Amino acid sequence: MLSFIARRALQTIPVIFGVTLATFLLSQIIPGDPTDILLGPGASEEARAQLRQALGLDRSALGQYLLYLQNLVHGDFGQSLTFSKPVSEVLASRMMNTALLAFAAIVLASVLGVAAGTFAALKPGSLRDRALTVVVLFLNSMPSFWLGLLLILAFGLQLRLLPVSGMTSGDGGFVNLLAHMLLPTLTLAAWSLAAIARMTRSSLLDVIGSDYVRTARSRGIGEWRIVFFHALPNAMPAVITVIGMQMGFLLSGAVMTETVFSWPGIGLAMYQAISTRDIPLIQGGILLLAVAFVLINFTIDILYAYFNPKIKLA
Amino acid sequence: MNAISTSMDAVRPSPVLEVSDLRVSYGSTLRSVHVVNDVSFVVGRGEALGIVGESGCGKSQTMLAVLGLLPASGRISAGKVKFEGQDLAALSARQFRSLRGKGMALISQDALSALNPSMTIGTQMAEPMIHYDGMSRKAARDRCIELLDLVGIPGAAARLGAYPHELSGGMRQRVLIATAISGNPKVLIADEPTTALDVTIQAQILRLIDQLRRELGMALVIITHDLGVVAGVADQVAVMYAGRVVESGSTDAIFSEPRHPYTRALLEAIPKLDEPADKRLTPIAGLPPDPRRPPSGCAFHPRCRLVQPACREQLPALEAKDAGNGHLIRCSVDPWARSNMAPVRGIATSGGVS
Repeated sequence: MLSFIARRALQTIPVIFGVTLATFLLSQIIPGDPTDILLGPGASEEARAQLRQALGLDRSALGQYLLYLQNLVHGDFGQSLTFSKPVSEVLASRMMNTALLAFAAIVLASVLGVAAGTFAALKPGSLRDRALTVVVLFLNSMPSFWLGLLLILAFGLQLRLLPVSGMTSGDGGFVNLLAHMLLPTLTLAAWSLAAIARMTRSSLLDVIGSDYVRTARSRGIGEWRIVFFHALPNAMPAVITVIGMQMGFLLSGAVMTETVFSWPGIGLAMYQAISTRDIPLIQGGILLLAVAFVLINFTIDILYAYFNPKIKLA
Repeated sequence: MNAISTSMDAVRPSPVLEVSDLRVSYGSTLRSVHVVNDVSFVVGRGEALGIVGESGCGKSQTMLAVLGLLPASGRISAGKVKFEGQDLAALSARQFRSLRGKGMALISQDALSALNPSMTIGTQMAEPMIHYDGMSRKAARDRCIELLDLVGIPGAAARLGAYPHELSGGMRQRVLIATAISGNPKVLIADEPTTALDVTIQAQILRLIDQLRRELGMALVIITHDLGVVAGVADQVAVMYAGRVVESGSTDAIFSEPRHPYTRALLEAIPKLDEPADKRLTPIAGLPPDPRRPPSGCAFHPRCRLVQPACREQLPALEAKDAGNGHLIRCSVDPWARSNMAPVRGIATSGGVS
């Protein structure tokens, strides 16, 4: 298992290099002179040259890329134009907020999704199975910003039960944070929940029809042990793959959800950066999200191998 | 009544598994498809019954019905299954569950798919012992090692931690056999236990099953498409075609005096050692019928070389004719009736046990 983890870890390195190259190219293909944005149109040619040298813009493209990598290694993501702070500071202060929201959403989606899928798969074709199909279809076809707005309308404006914006209000205790999290978490989780429930159901149905489940039954194993110890573990690899993919979607879904609920995370910062053409912040944000995505996939691979011992050989 | 038991010889042991007029259907009651029809047989204590037929003839469905393991879309729509005199339809789900493994156990065809890929051999084997028989982990482990020794797996203790995919095909089949006999079942049901194996391993596995049956005093129901397998192991044979038993009787009777044209055809499709190697085998032309559109009359008539007009009209009964000794035939033509029978040549067995 350890050598498997080591091999997979090594394989992530070229991917991360690829991502840095892509974000670097982003700064190269954006038209316009960065010094215009940084110094304003009225700056002297001397000041511009100085800044170019300071930023390494006078070097070749390769030189600039190496400098970019060197800065990244030292944690220097450049300077955000909108926040007038280093990009790393902006991202660091918001990363936890996004992580908190995404984590809560994926936990909610996974737990409810697996539970609902299992519940449906145990009685295929039953009323509850068909009811679940309808709910899944509904959640799957609902755009997250629309669902978010509807939730705000219902719980925030009509029922006045829950706060609809920001992370905390007033003195901001834990319960206050939870109340603020509830609606964005639901919004973010909805789509993933539906996808996870659907995959759990179909994968579990496959496994329940398999020979080894029949063997287990033929040996007198009870139905709940069949489901929890024989069927679910074997249905898990497919479900985990979907959960992993959903985590990627959650990161991008966060942009939408955080904007709707003014949640101070990376998503909201990215939204603001895009509307103000804050290239360094966009670059940093993309890099961070991409690396997070790679790390998630890495974790999924390991979980996958854990549930399916055959993969370790590959 | 058309069970083998009707004219039972004095030597047959007391019954442990009795199936009478079993019908298995799929689909809604309005448009049901019967995949098993009027199947009856009796397995005595310690006896071996071979159920023979092509794929799709209903032999596996019969045994799944006996074990109560039909998929959700299938059901027993008529007939009875009795285990030690107890009607299984009267059992609660819980009682049926505890009968499986201890009363009747199953060895299925492909051990790779029949073993849970994400559990070690030891965990799977020990599961019912620990969770349903209240054995300690230590005791269950010892019992697993004992069972693996019994089925001839060398270095049993070291194998407990292996996953199914880490074993060879023959080893896996042995593990599957060990798991099946772990509850000391009275009836062992082996569904094509050697089909997925190569020929030399087939013979070993058959010998093992036969030997275990004798040592542990189990009855055996062996389901196969291979008459050679049956010849070596079974005391009684039931030949099935299109969901019905077409001929049944003692193994000796079926091999020395086959009476149904289908049984004959099956025997002619086996290569024989005493014939020149370049002699062509006689295949059975055509395919088994689709159970959704069963032919009229005798289901074998579209493929039968000896078909008579009557065969298309009326389904013949499974009856003793003049054969005696519990030998039953479902054929209205009965071309090999004793009155006009020619001697049958010896039949070579493939992978059989002697």
